[in-house]
Amino acid sequence: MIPRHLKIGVAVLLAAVLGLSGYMWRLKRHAARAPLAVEPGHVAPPPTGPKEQVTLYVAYDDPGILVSRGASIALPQGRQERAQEVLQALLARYLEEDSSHPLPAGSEIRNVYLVDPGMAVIDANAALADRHRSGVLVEELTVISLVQTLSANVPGINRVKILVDGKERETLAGHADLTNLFDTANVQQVAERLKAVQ
Amino acid sequence: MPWIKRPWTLRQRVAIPVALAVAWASLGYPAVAEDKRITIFSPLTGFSLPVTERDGHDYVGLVEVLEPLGTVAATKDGAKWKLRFERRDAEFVSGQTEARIEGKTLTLAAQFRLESGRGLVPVSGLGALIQEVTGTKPVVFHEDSRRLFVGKVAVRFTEELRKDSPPVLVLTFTSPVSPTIASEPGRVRLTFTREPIMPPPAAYSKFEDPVIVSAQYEEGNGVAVLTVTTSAPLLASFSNEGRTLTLSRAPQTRASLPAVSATVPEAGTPLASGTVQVPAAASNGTATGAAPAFDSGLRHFFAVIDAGHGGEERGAGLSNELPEKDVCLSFARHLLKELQSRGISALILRDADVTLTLEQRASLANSAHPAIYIALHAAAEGRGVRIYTSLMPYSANANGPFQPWEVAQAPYVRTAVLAAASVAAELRKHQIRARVLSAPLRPLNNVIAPALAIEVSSPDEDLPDLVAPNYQQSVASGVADGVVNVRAQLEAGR
Repeated sequence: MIPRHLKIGVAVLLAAVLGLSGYMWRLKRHAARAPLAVEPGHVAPPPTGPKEQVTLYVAYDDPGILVSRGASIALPQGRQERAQEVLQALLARYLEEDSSHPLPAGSEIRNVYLVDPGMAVIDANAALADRHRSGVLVEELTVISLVQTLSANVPGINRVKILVDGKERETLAGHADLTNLFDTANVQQVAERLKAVQ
Repeated sequence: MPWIKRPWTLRQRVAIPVALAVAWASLGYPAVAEDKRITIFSPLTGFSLPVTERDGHDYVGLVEVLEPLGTVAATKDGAKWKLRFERRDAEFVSGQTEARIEGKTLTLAAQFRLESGRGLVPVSGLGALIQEVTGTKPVVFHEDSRRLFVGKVAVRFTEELRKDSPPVLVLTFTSPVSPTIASEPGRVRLTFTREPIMPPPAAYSKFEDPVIVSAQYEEGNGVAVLTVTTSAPLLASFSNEGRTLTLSRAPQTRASLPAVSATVPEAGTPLASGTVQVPAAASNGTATGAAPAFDSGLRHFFAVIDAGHGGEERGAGLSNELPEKDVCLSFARHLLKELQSRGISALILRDADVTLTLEQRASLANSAHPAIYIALHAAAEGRGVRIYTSLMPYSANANGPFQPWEVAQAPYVRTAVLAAASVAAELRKHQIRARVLSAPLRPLNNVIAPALAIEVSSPDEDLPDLVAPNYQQSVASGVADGVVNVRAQLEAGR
């Protein structure tokens, strides 16, 4: 004779197994119906923090000038992350459809490193350099715009090196020399001259 | 006993300095031959190292030799010095001439030296040592000239005197070369510092030609030198992507007279691609009938015009069928004519569709010792003309005749800015938009003369106007006028 409490225990367990099986079948069906999630590429987390006013040195191909423009963007706390965010904001302008200085689609700043006291390294991706338009003015506008925007918004930078995909490159697109460090004091003078149409 | 000050005797006065000198010498300070160097060539790199003299033998740091060739690590264990190159092990003992390399014993030409953890090996017999340590074959060592070839790196060349009119000496190399071209009265010296040049079958070649007399190959102190004896000015031109170097007699025009002369020279014969003039013997009076003109050698060319890009390097694609390199060359030819018509002697570095590296451009330009260097570019973007100077700040020349390559332009920046302003002013007089800017643009920084880069765009939104002969002529004329206006300042700076 099976004791009564054992019968009740087995019945409760059976009920639990049946209930969980039903719940799992339902979850599986729900998962099958849900749309496939797109695998994101390198999606940086959105910057957190309050919006701050920054100065972007924006290039205009016609008439070949550099104009300082204020922008309000959310900036993270870290100095290095802030530097990268400011340059991303600049690039975003150049990647707009009606950009004043179009850069190739897919252009990105991979990283900005603040390595030495006073030295910054901008690491652009290959898309930016490989398909950049060729010419002294158009390449200079890109380079000066990046360096001047960085030094204007991140205090204490006096030398900037530009790499492409982590490697040194001789020129941006056949003209602008990337082998040397850019002295920000010299770049500021060039930026001043590029502000005006002579 | 109280100390009494006494004047030194004559014997003491002589003996003390002598004793000090003997003590100094007895310290055994090693003599350092700073000017001695060894050059190592490998498929990956070519580099030069200083040679140190110890006890009458030449030594070199073994780690310094191996570092550019692969992964190397060295550890000091008392008098022993263990070395690992890639996966090969070697062991040296300070003061010993025998070394153990991969289980084998190798006898060095002199004892191994350990100085502050740095292992020094004798230069003599270095080829055999490097072959054992690296396991590379072949390793060839030209011991007398201290040139070490690790692996299959040899660049060979042939010399051929072609009986053209005028005759030309054609040097054909198996790989691109970029020698330093130096001129002396009666000789042209091609110095190969980075190229693993191997000796030709005959070190001395005598040619049956009154102008290009002979060629002598020599090696020494890590470099190879080819000296061509000549009795008239020569032009050196690169072609075949730097594999062919042609030496030919310079055109006998009065254009080679100093530009400050009031004489208007004849329009010169178009020069060959990538050319630079090198002088002949000062004693020669027959080539041009103006011996003094040869005394200053390459200084005869007041302006060097460098047509941007060329050969494999197309530059900007101004349109599907119009590469920048062609527009640059067209402008260069216009500018040459305009300068010559104003009494300015000028040289085009690239007068054909050939590839020249930035280093070759600067080197060729510097060899010509011009008063001004003008690089030409063309662009679809922008309107009018932009005149660029180097981005580097001015600094006075504190190095005499030897300028650091990377900042060679620094002493000339002020004059270059002056010339740029003058050119811009003249272009505006021709109703052409002109801006003066500075840019990170090579090879401006490497040129030892005021250097400008001129980028020409269409005068309006119509790209075909960029190649319109009238527009090119007008731009060239404005640039030439601008140069003429600052001729005195440019001449003063030479």
